Amino acid sequence: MRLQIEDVHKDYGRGVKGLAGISLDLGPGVLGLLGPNGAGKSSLMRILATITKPSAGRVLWNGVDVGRDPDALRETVGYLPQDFGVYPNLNPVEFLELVAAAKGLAGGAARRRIDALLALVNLQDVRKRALGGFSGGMRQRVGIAQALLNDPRLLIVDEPTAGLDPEERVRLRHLLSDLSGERIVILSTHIVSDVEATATRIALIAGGRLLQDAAPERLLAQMAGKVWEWVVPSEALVELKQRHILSGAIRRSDGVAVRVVSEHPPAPDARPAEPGLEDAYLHHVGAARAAA
Amino acid sequence: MTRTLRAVLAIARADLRERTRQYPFLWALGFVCWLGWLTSEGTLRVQLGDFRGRLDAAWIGGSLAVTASNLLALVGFWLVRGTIERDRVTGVGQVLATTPLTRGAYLVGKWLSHVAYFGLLLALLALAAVAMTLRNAEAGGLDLVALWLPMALVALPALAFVAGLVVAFEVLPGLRGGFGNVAWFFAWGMLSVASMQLGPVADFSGLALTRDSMRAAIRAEHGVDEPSFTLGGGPRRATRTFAYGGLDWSAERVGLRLSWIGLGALVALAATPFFDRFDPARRRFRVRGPAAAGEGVSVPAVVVVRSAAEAHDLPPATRGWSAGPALVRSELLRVLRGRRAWWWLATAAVFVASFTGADPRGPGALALLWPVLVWSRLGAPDAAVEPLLRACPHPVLRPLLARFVAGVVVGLPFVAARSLGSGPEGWLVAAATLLFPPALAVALGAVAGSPKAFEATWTALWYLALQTPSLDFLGATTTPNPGPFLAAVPVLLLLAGAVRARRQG
Ligand SMILES: Nc1ncnc2c1ncn2[C@@H]1O[C@H](COP(=O)(O)OP(=O)(O)O)[C@@H](O)[C@H]1O
Ligand SMILES: [Mg+2]
Repeated sequence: MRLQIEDVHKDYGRGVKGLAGISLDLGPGVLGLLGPNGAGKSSLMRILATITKPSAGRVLWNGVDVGRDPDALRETVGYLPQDFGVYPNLNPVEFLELVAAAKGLAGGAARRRIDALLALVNLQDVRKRALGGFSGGMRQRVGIAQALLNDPRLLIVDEPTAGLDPEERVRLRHLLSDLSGERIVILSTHIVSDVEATATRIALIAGGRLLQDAAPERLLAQMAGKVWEWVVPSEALVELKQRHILSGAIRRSDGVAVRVVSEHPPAPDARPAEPGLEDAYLHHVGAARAAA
Repeated sequence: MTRTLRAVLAIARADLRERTRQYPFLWALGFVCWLGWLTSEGTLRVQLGDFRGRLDAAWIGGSLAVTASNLLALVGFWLVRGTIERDRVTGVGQVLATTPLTRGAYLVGKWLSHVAYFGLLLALLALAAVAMTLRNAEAGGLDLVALWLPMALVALPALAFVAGLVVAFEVLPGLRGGFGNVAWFFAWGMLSVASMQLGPVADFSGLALTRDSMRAAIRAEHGVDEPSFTLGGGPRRATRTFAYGGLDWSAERVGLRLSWIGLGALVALAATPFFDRFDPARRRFRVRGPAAAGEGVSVPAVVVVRSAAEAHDLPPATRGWSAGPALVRSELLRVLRGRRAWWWLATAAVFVASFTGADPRGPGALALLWPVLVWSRLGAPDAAVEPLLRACPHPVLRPLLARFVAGVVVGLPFVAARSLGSGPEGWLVAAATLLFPPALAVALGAVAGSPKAFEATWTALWYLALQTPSLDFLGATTTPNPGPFLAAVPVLLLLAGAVRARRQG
C-alpha cells in the first residue's frame, strides 16, 4: 500500500494557487494534514479523492498513475468531504444504500455492512428517521459511515471533527487510529489537538506549500530550546503579541504568564519550556507567513 | 423608514450582484440576443393579417417591446426564479432572519432584484434594437425616443409585474417547488389571453394596448379594420405595410402602465404571510417508523464508536452486479420518498386516465406531463451530495445511466397504459415517449445543474406536441413523428456524459 504525491499543483485561475507543489510518500498509518484555513488541505484531499485533477504533478496509488486510471483508486478510497449534503427525505439506511450502490457493493453485503456501520457510529436508533432533521454531528457520523462503506484502503477525511462535541471528537480520533493498522488514513484539520495523539506523521502545510513532514516526535525535538515562558505585566501583552509568536497566555495574580515561540531568549527572565505540537505549528506557520 | 429602504436596497443589490456573476446570467443574455436576432430576421414578428408596420424606430421598438413583455416574461420567470431557495440552501437566509429585517422588506428586496435583472436584459435588448434599426430600417432615422419608450413603458412594467409573481411563486406553499415551474407555463398562457381580451385592467403585458394602436394606424392609412394580431412566426408573411406612429403616451396611459410596477411590488408583499422566514422547523420531512411517534427523539449524542474492536469486525464489503439495480432503486427512492398521500392519489388517477389512450384532448395526454417533476429531480440531483458520489468508481457514467433507467421506470406504467390499444406502428411512438423524456431530463439537468431547465422545457414541449403535428412524438395526433426524438436519446445521453465528465475535471 503506497500513495505517492509528486509535486502536485492546483491553479484555480486568476492567480489563485490552491497548491504550489506538494510531494509526499505515504504508507499505512495516520497522516495529520495540519494547516491554517486556506492552506490547501481540501484542495489536496479533493485531488487524492479523484474529484479534481491536479494542474501539474501526479498521484500514484500502488505505482499506478491515478490521473490515468482513477477507477483503480476509486474502488478503494473512502472520502469524507469538508462540506457535503444529504437527501433530506431519505433515512440513513436509504442514504447509505445509495452510496453503497454507487461504490458497486452487492445488495445483500451492502445491507449487512450498513447495519454494522450504523451500530459503529451509534445511529441505529435513528435509522428510520429522515436525514433532514439530523443535527450537524449526526450528519457527520453518517458521513463517516459512508466513507467506510467499501472498507477503504485509503481513507481521506477532511476536517472530520468539525461539528462534533468534545467527547465525539475523542472517539472519532480513536476510531481513525484503530482503523489505520491496515490502511492509509489522511486526516486534515486546523486544530492541533485533533492529530496530537493519533497521527503517526504530520504534514504541515500553508499557502499551498509543504512546510514540514515528519513524525510528531521529530517536530517536537526540533523545537527544543525555542519555547519560553515568563510573567509579564498585563499592559505589556499587546506589545508582546506584535513582536513575538504567542502560543499561550494565562492570567495570574502577578500579571500574565506568557508562552512564546522564539529562536532566541525573548526576555532576560524567560525560561525555556517543554515544547508542544501547537508550538511547532505556530513556529512553522509563523515563519512561512513572515517569509511570504 | 429610511432604514427599511436601505435594507431593501441592500438585499436587492447583493442578490443582483450574486446572480449577474453566475453562469446562468450568460444564458439569459444569450436568450435575449437570440430573441433579438429572431426578430431582426423576421422569424419572430408582429403581424396583423396581411399587414406589418414599415420598419422604422416606432415599429421596431413597439414590436420588440411586446415580444419582451410576452416571451421574455415566460422564460424570464424561470431564469430569475430560485433566489429565495438559494438563501435557504446556503444558510444566508437564516443569517438574515436573525436581523431586524422584516419579511416584507426581504420579499420586496428580492422583487426589486428581479426587476433590476430584467432591466439589465431589457437594456441589452434596447441596444439590439439600435442595431436592428440601423440595419433594417426602411424609413426614418434612429429615433431613440420612439425606439426605447415602449421598452420602458410596455415591457418593463410587464416584467416588474412578473417579478412580483416570481416572488409569490417562491413563497406560496405548493407553488414553491418544481410544480410552480410547470404551473407558470399555464399561468402565463392564461395571463396572456386575459391581457389580450379583458381590457386595460388585465393588460399587464401591454399587448392589447399595442395591438389597438397598430389597428388604428392601419385604419387611418388603409381604411380597413384588421381583426387578427399575431406575435410569433409562421410561413405566411405580410404583403402590405403601414406607417406605425407608435403609442400616444397620455399621462393617463403612462400612469396605467406604471401602476403594473406597483402591482408587482404589491403581489410580492401580499405573499408575506406565507413566508416562513427560513425557519427549518416549518419544513416537514417525512418521518417513518417507530421514531415518528415521539417529537424530537433524542439521539445518543456522545458516542461515535462503541468499541474499537468493532471497527475491525465489520462484514466484508463485497462487490457485485446487484449494485446496478440497487443504484436505480436508490435513485427512485431519492425522488419518490417524502411525497404526500395526495400526490400518490393523483398519480394513481393519472395512471388510470392513461388507459383512455393517446387522444390529445383526452385526459390521457396528462400522463406524460405528470411525471415531469420526478424526471427533473432525477436529472438534477443535489449538488451538495455529488462530492460523495464522485469519489466512487465510474462516477460519470454509472449515476447517469442509473438516473436514466430510473426515469424510464417512472414513465413505463403510463406509457404502457397509453399504448395498450395501439398496434405495432404505435410501438415506435411508445419507445420515443418512454426514452426521450428521461434522456432530456439527465441532459438538461447536467447542463443547467438544476431541475428548472427541464421542467420549463418539457412543459413547453409537451404543450407544443399537442398543438403541432410536426412536433408530435407523443402519438397524440394521427401523424406521429417519433424518429427524431428517438435519435435524440443517445445524443442527449452523450451530452450529459460529456458535461458530467467536464465537471469531474
Ligand atoms: N473551487 C475553488 N475555486 C477557487 N479557489 C479555490 C477553490 N477551492 C479553494 N480555493 C482557494 O485555494 C486555496 C486553498 O483552499 P482550501 O484547499 O480549501 O484550503 P483549506 O482546506 O486548507 O482551508 C484558498 O486560497 C482558496 O481560496
Ligand atoms: Mg478545507
